[in-house]
Amino acid sequence: MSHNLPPALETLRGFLPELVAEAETKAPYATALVTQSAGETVAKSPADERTNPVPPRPGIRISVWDGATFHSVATSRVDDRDYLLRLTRGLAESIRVKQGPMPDPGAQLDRHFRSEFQQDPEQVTASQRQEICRHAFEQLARFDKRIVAPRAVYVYEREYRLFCNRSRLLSSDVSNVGFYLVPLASDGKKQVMNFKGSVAPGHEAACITDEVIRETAELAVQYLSAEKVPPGEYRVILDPDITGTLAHESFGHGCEMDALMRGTARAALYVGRRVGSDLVNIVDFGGLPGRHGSIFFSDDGVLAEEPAVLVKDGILQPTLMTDLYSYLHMRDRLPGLKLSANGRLQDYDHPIYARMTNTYFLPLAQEKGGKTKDELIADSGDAVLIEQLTSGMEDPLGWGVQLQALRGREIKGGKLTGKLYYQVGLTGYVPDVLASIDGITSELDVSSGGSCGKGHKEYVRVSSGGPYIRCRMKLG
Amino acid sequence: MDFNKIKSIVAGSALALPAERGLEVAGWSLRRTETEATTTIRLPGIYTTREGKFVRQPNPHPREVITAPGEEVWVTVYGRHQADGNEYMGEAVGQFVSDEESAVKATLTSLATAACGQPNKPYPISDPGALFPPVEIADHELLELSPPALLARVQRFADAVLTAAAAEFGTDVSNLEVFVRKIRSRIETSTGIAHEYNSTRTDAEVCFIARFGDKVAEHTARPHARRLRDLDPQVLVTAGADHARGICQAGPPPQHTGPVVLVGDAAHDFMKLDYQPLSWHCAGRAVYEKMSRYAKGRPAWGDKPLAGDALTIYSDPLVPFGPDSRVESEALPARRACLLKEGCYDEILGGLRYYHYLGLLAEGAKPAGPTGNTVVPAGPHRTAELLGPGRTIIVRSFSDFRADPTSGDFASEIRLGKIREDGDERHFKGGLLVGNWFDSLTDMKLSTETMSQDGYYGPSAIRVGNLQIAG
Repeated sequence: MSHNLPPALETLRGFLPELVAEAETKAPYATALVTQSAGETVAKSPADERTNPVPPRPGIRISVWDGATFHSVATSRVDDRDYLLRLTRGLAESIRVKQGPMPDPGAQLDRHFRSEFQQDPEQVTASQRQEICRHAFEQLARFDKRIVAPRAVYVYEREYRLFCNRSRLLSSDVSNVGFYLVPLASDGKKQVMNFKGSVAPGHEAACITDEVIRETAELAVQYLSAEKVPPGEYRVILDPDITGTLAHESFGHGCEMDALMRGTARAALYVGRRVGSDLVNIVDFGGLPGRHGSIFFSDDGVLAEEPAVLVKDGILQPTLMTDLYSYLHMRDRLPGLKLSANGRLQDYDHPIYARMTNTYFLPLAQEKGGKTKDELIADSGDAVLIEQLTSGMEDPLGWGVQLQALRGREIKGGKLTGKLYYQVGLTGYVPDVLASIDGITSELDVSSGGSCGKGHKEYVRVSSGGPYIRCRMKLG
Repeated sequence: MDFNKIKSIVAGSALALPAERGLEVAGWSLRRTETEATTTIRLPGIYTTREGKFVRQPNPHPREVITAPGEEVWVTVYGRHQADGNEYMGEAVGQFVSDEESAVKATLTSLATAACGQPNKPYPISDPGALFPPVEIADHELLELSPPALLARVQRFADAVLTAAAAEFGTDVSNLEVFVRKIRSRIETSTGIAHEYNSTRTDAEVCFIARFGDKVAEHTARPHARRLRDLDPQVLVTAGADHARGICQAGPPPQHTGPVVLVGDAAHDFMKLDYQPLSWHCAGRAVYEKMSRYAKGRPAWGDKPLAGDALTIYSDPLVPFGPDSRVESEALPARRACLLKEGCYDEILGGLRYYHYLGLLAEGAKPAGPTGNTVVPAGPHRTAELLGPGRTIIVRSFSDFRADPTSGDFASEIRLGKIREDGDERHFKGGLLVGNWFDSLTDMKLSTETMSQDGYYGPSAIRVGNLQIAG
């Protein structure tokens, strides 16, 4: 059967069951996982135009479970069957099987999945990508002479994943396109940078209008005269990406099972208790189609079919995001625990942890009080509208949260005054921030693209989003 | 993969490509890395909750052990083409996944096509006369170990950390990850460079949890070293546990405007070239594209008067066993570069391309390459003097310090700080330290005492006179 995979991966797909069977001659449970990513990056800046085809970078990881520990070998030599069989045999022979929980390989399943896109990125040539970048570059440069260093980048990534255990043989073909505009402006004394990113599974991500390019350039120029926000506590309205990142950093990390089992998730003490206002609903769902953090199955071979509801109407739920290791050790300790589709790794030679995918606040329906963005601003008195996330950092044990945004817009008497703040840091104590949420819009926007690490490593693709929310945070 | 076979195909094909496809390949470089990597992850206790409290049960087995033998061969192809009477140049980087001739040629063709389509000004490629520095970046003890012996050595280190942690009051290690890599690198270029060297790298992540009654706090230490023996388990645990206990006992942050003393981790984060804006402004590309504030010989803080010590910062990839030390980058020999000399911009980071564009090669300068270790000469002030009499605000660590590379602005959450007053000290956490990195240079005092941590070699205490804490 053809799965629309590159020929070498199609061949490897057929060989994986043999590797698993070889490992299971000694080990009670084995898996094989193959990852391969490739693509092309095109970039245009004043001194540099670059087109870099990223060739396929394959790798395989074979893992065996001894009843308490996963033992894995990982290698980039995917094309040598004898070598892979020798590695697998050596791995299986190196373990001593212990009494312990055993994984369930799941029902028999042989499936292939593929991203849906509007415009096939594979059909776009390097020269078309160059033209798009050159056009955006020229539009940015032409906008104002203070735009000293515009940059346009087109990133196309095609990622294949194969998973095999004794019941399951899964494969996926996921494409991601990102188009980024980065104008730098200078007045001779001050340098500032604006950023606009657009991500989608297909080439549609790069189909942005000249109006959007001009707005991106205009903001960069406006930043030159923007002020720093006076430090203090403010009523703030967060844009959907920042809203989602607040969800991600506040309860997302705290609901990753490996954080709980190592005692670093205070959320574990609050299951079933109120952690925010009743407007707070947070979910993580890798199966949300076509988002930057979307997956078809986890690296433990679990299909991404059900959202994990982390917070419902302000109450922390017992639904936790699990990877296979944490699930095996915790299922007897936490009755009802499910193995979710959150076990993910950065690269084939890295460990699998419980990770988020697409994490977002749910919007509030209009009939329940959900507002439009304009209504929320008009209803806010004095506040700051915070836009364009640059980074976030979690503290799931201390329940601190740190977010960085590119800009804030002053709101006085329910109206935007036109005053702009450049680079705003936001912090707060998570329960206080969530309890202070008193306004929320009615539309869901999960369109951001980014990556998330465990601390400062193990980066995986994620997205975050939600509606606009209004709350109180410290700004600086 | 047979590296020599690939090299022979690359050398032959690169020359043959113009005739076949009308492309002019200006040169190539090949890099092979053979890696032996070992990862061990320990979860010494498994936590659950009972009656609103965490309960810990010992877990004697590792979470995961990964061994990863690997070999990668990367190639950079430089291409030239002419258009409108001008000569242009480009480059493209790729990886070979097979040594079969047809696969190697297909990759080369794809890269040559990409390289020849880039309308950039020409620049020189690697210098055949390059002499590579004999910088020590390999742990010879680790190099000699077989894969099972390497794994056993890593497990012994993990055991030593857990043993040291068991003796700490009120603190557990909740997660311990150790990554060790042995890497053999070979670089060969069309200009005749052929150089091979070994390196090793050890990265650890140790998560400490402190508990006092209902109070609980976490601190994660992430040390990096070239030699495993440079990570002393006892030192690592003593410092990490103390930090976790400090956060656990900390109170709310103060509102403050004025001097702040950065010590330890915070001094490291504030100065390290990775997190502050200097390397961005000293990058050849940023200077050439006129994005940078760089102006050789001019103060980095602009026209404001200097009230403190004039800061000097080196990017130094030659520190023996430094985590950010290297032999070469893109076949360019590593060298030390002074980025800031007594407060004034001095040298530029970058490779042959931007050194050529900026006319620095013509002046006889050798490219400095990318950043190395951050080296800051000691200052004239004893730490006790910087802490001074009266009330002093001290920051020990940040949640995630990053100054904006373009503006230098920062607003970073304080992970752990101290308020020192009349001989008493009390910890605080939270709040934002707000300021501008360049403005900070106008009023900075550096300690005579120094530290070396994760690629930072410099003063262990830094007093900055003009900061704000939003508590």
